[in-house]
This record gives sequence, structure tokens and C-alpha cells, in this order.
Amino acid sequence: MNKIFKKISLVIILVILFVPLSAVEFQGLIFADYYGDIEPSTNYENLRSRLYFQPVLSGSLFNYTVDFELSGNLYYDPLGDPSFIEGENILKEAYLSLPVGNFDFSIGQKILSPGMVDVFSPLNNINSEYVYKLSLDDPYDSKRADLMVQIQYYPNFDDSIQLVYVPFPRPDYEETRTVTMDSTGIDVDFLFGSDPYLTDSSNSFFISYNHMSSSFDLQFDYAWYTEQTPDFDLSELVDGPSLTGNVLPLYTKKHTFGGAYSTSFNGITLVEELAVNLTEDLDGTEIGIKNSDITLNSQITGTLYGGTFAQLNIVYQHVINYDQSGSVYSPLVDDQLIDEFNNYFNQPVQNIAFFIGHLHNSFFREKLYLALNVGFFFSTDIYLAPRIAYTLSDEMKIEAGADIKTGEPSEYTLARGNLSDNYYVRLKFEY
Amino acid sequence: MRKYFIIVLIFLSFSLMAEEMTVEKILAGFERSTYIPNLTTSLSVKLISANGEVREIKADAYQKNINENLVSRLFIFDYPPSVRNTGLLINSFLNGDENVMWIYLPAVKRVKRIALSTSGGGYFMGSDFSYSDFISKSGDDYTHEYLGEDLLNGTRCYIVKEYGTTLQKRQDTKVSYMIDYFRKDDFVMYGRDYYDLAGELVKEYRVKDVLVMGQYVYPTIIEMTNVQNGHSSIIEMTKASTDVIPDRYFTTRFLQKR
Repeated sequence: MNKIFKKISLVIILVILFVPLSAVEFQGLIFADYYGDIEPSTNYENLRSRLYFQPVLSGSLFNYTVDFELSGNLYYDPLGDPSFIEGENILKEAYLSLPVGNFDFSIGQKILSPGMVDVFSPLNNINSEYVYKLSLDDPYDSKRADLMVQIQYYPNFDDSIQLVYVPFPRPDYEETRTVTMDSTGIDVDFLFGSDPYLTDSSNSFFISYNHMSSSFDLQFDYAWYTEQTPDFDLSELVDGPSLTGNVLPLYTKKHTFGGAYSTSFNGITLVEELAVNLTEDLDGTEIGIKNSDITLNSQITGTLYGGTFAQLNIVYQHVINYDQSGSVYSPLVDDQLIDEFNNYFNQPVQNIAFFIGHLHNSFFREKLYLALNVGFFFSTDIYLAPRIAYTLSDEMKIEAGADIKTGEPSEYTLARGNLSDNYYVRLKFEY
Repeated sequence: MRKYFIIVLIFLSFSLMAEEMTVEKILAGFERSTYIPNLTTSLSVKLISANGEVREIKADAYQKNINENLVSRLFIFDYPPSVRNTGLLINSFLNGDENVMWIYLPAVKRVKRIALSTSGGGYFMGSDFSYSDFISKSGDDYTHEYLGEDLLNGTRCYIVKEYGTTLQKRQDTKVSYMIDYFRKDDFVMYGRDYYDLAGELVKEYRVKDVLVMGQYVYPTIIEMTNVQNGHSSIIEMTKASTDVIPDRYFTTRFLQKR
């Protein structure tokens, strides 16, 4: 699959280079950053230093008939064990777009963002993610583009229907690693990392209807797709005095029905987004497969005193058929596995609710930018993420921030992503 | 017969002398000269801090009177690099309906609806111009009062006091009233003084240059000065054209796929 992908990329690049160009625009982003671990319960540690380059080439071909975009990610992390970006992540987007009457056709590797809320969007399910993000709002380690065919139909100026077909979805990206769960009655290895493309669980379809008018914006979505976050294949486990064996990632199909509504009044914008996610474990009996859920995200945006932008997201999730699995192994083993898996799937309880707040403002003629993200998860943990940026010139900016959780890092064996409090400093140049 | 003719002449001259300028005539003249059905221009906004430091924003701007009730504006930003390809689509309604804005963010490839007052605290890209300075206003939202004539920078102007009809409107715009200066010869709004909710002068809007395009007179250099904090912003519009713009430009489809 890697070879096929490389061949397709080469063809696209050759086409763009040798076919007559009507217009070309080149943009780029370069930054150098440093992350440090400031978790109070551990010693200070260098987390990462990165030199990053993102070129973007876009333009038109054949007398403005076809548009294209080609972009990449290139980085080198010099600290610790120096490493370059994995080859499969170098190409960011590479696609061609062709408008024909009321239709827009697009083919290639692309990132799409369905849904309307800005954070924790339950409908933003087309592309996979980078699991190990040091900043939760990191724009450079966020979504991974997928090879797709996209067709949009515009019957009039207000409405559109979109069909997206992803033949070989990409899983969430995490480094290949083995996690050993070694506790009472359990000695199991979880083998994370997988192929760049999910050829065994291929074909994802997404359809959405959009209406954008002066009064409100509306979206309806349906997707039948391969979930990019893995479930667990427990078929190789051997039940004995201890449960032993290997657990492999398992990528299962999911149905998502949902919609979003947005309107604005008296200086406030309100967005409601609802998704019903039906997994392969509809009755909740498979402990290694995520439960189905209903997720509602309400977002309110407004302006506070002094022109401060304010946004509040209230997220509620109901886990369908929670805690319905029967006895699989021994009660002690079952409880430990279920606890780990529920935490991994972000389904620790049947009903989940949390708030995310965001404030930002700019000063000194937009040169100084201050922001604060706050997350409250109805636990003793509060998430705080201050951000500051200063514009040195129109092209250059220096940024700093921190991701802090007031509680202790998760002690779950399968806990995903970055668990430590950290801060960063970044010098960025755009052109 | 000759006496009768002289009497008629005297009567007519008195009638002419008695014909006063009214707000309606001024606003009608303003609309005639500046209500351009289609306008395409390259826009530059210079943000000048109190210490003289200048930052610049560049965009392509499109404006069209879609129908008698709707005026649409599209801005596609080109500079600085951090806002390149960001698009703003603003629909403003003359019947008092809430104005609507969508923003296209290229980083997330998404079109978002936002309230005008939410974006930049209500100020256009951090400048001293608010969005309400750009959008067409419903006649029902504002009350006008003719104050007479005066000179502004050596130019004779009609003076009109303008204020939000309701307290809510004045609070939304943070302006208690405005003094508008309309040039006598072409009714271009040559200047405007903004007074805050405390009645203090806060901003001065001055037209520095205009472009005559047939029956239309379009301000091409506008300076807005915040007299309270020393900031100022200068808008310059170049490459102006009144060629017809297709309606499809003012759609969310074009906003993200131009």
C-alpha cells in the first residue's frame, strides 16, 4: 500500500510540474520549538525540540479549469534520540479539484472538517489524528489527510450535498510500541502501531447536507466508516492461571447519524451538534469494542468586556448499553480489563459531561495575543492551557504556552497521548 | 403684462430662497453617488499605533447590491501570511434583519458563522474601523437631524447628526451619536465624528481622496483616528472596478473554493 501511495503521489507531482500551470502560489511555514515537562510529581525533562517546515504549493491548471494543492510536513527532532518525521506523514495534502457547473469534484489526499463546533466535534470523523500531541490544540499535529474522492453538489446558493469516499482509511497515528499489562491475573502485551492504511477494514462513506442561509446554518450527516481509533482483538488471549497473550488493534465499522445547527443573534453565535454513534458492539457485550454513544456539543460564542472573545462548549455524552458485558474471563480479570478499556475509549461512566472555555484578546494593534483554554471535567482535575504570542513582524511570531492538568497523570496502563504537564516556546516564520 | 411678469419672477425667487436642504435630500444624494451596484477593489488597511508603528493588511474586496434589501461584501485576505486566504462574507440587510457574517478559515478548511460584534471585538481585522462602518444600515435603525452647513478642512459640508434609534442600538455600537459631514457638491460623506456613550469624541473618520466613476463618487483613501488612544487606521482602495460581479461570488461555496 505504501508503494501504491508513493506512485500516486509521484504521478500527481509530475502532473503538476509538467502540465501547463495557469497560476501558482507558494506558501511556507517554518518553526523551531521546545517542549519541557513540568509535571510536579516527576523530574524536569526535555520532551521535544523540533525544527519544522511545511511547504504549500497551490494553483490552477489548464487555464484555471483544475485547482490543485500540494503540501507537506518535514521535521527533525534533535533532542534525545534524534529523529526525522516518518515517511508516511511527510505528504500532508495532495489533491486536484474540478468545478463543473453545480458540482465540485475533488480527488487526492485531503483533510475535511465536517461539523460546526470548534472542539470535540462528534461529526468531525473523516480523518484520523496524531495520538501523541503535546498541546491539545496543536495545529501541526492534528489531523492526517486521507486519500478520498469528494463530490459536492450545489442545487442553489444556499444548499449543498457532499459525498466522500475513502477507500483505504488511515488509523490514528501512534508509534509502534508494546504496552504490557502486568497485574493480578493478567500478563498481556498490547501491540500498538499498525499499517499506514487500513486495507483489511477499507471503504468509508460519508454523506452530508448543508444549508447556509441568513437565518441559520444547518447540517445533516451520515457516515458508515472505519473508526480510526482502534478497538482490541482479544482472540489471541489464553485464559489460564493468568490471562496471557497478545492483543492486537482492531479497526471496526461505525455508523454515525447526526446534525448541527448554527445561528447568531444579539452578538452571540450558538451552535448545537449532535451525533449518534453506533459501533459493532451495539448491545455493549464486547469488552474490547467501544460502546455506542450519543454525544451533544453546545457551543456559545460572544464578546466580553474589552473585546475579549469568549467561547464555551458544553459536551454531554450518554454511553449506550454501558456495563452490559457478561463474564468473559474471571471477575477480577474482567474488572481490570473493562476499567482499562473504558478509560481508553473515554467512556469511564455511562453519562459524561464536561465544559471547555476559551478566552482570547489582542493588544497593541494585534501584536500581542493572549488566550486561555479551561476544561472542567466534573472531577478534581481541571485543564488549563494559557497561550501567548507576540508578532515580531508580519512574517515572524514568537509563541509560548502550557498544558496543565491539576490532577496527577493517569495511571492506566493503556492511557493514550501525552500525560504530563508541559510548556512550550516556539519561533515561527510564515511566508 | 410686464408688471405681472416681474411679480411672478419676484415670487419665484422667494420660493427658491425658501427651499431648505433636508436630511432626506442629503441622504438621497449620498445614496445616488455612493450606492454602487457592483464594486471590486484591492484593499489595504494600515494599522498605525500611537508610537507610529505601522502594520498592513491586504485583501481583495467585492461588494454587490444583490437586491433592494441585501448588500453583500466579500473580503479575501492576502497579507500578512497568517491571514492569507481567510475569507469574510458579510450579508447586510436594509430591512432591519440581523446582519450575517461567515468566515472561512483555511487552517481548518471550514466555513463558520460568526456574529459581527464577536469578530475582533467588532473591529475589522483589528483596525479602528468597526464592522458597522462597513455594512449598509437600515433606515429604521438610525435617526437623523440636519444641523446646517459648516466647513470641514476647507470644504463646505452639510452637517447631519445621526444616532441609533434605540438604546440597544447605541449600546451595541458603543456610539451615542455621530456628526456626519456631507460635501455640498457631491454628497460624499467627507467626514464623521463618533461620540461614545459618555458623549466624548472617540473617533474621527475622514475621506482623503475619492475616485469618480461615472455617476458614482467613491472614497478611496479613508482615515479613522481614535482620538482617545492615539491609534489610527488608513484604508486605501485601488484597482476599483464597477464591472458586474456574479451573484455566486457571495456564497459560502465561493468563500471556500475560489
